[in-house]
Amino acid sequence: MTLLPTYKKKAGRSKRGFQIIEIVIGAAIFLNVVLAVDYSMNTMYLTSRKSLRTAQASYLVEETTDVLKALRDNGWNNISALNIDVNYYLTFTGGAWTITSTPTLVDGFSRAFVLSTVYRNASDDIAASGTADLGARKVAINISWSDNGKTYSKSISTYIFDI
Amino acid sequence: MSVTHSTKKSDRINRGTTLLEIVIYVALMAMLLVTVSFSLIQVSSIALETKAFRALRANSVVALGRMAHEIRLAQSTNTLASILDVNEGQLSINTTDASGNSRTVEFKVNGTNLEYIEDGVSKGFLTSNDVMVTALMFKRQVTAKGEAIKIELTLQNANAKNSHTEKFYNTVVMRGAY
Repeated sequence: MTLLPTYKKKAGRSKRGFQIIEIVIGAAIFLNVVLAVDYSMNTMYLTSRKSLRTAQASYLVEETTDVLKALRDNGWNNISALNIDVNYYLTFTGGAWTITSTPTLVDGFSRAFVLSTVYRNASDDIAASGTADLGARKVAINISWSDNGKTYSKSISTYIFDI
Repeated sequence: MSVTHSTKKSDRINRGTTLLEIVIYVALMAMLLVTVSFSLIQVSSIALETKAFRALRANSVVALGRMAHEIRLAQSTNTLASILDVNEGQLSINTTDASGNSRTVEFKVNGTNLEYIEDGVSKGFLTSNDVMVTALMFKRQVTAKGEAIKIELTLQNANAKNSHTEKFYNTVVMRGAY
């Protein structure tokens, strides 16, 4: 007579199941975890795509430096005749590279380069000011592209010499 | 009297769930399952795409890197052994090894891979089975001091479900010709 109620009480409490608030909290936590995994996976996806685009842009930067050297090899005038601090672009037509002032796109990548004067100081070192070196130009190459609503770019600066 | 009281309490505790509660639980579970299912599908798809991008990048680094390196060191193009300006192209260049001995290097598509050949002997593939070479073109520009080779390489990841095709470009001046 005394054991029965105690037994029933325990059994009753342990079998009462989940309350709605517990279910809602559990579902919310679970959803948060799912959303966090989703977000991190999406970030990973965008990062890997950006990494691929950056590699493609790097090849275009490398290409630009070599094309300018090839054009220089055909005559320093191809480089020295270009205006300073003006955007120039490259195009490959008729089996040869040419420099144009019309913007060009390479599979969604925009490529431009700007030349600037190279100055040398009294020690003949490259300096911010001094005597202009007519046999050298500083080249700033910029490759830009858009992805997922954002614009990215890869830029380098190098020198090209009349050799 | 105590027994009757206990029975009443027990009945109240074990009254079970109402129909409304069951409906809410089932609806919540259904929503959760649908969300989880969609999320799992998306995560799986993203994982495959991420793997594809990584494979494309890694293969382009090896393939373009090796071709650029060899062309940069070369003296000239063997135009007779090369297939220029068309897909699938083939490039044969005259170069030297580290000791200065003459050697030839060739790049061509074999099946869906980019093959690297030295002195007529295949040295293996520069691309893995994760990607397929779907286009390869070489263009030659002769300059007053040598030549430059324009490379156009198109890679596609091998997983047809998440197919991505990417183009890679480079132009390299042959320094060996200077």
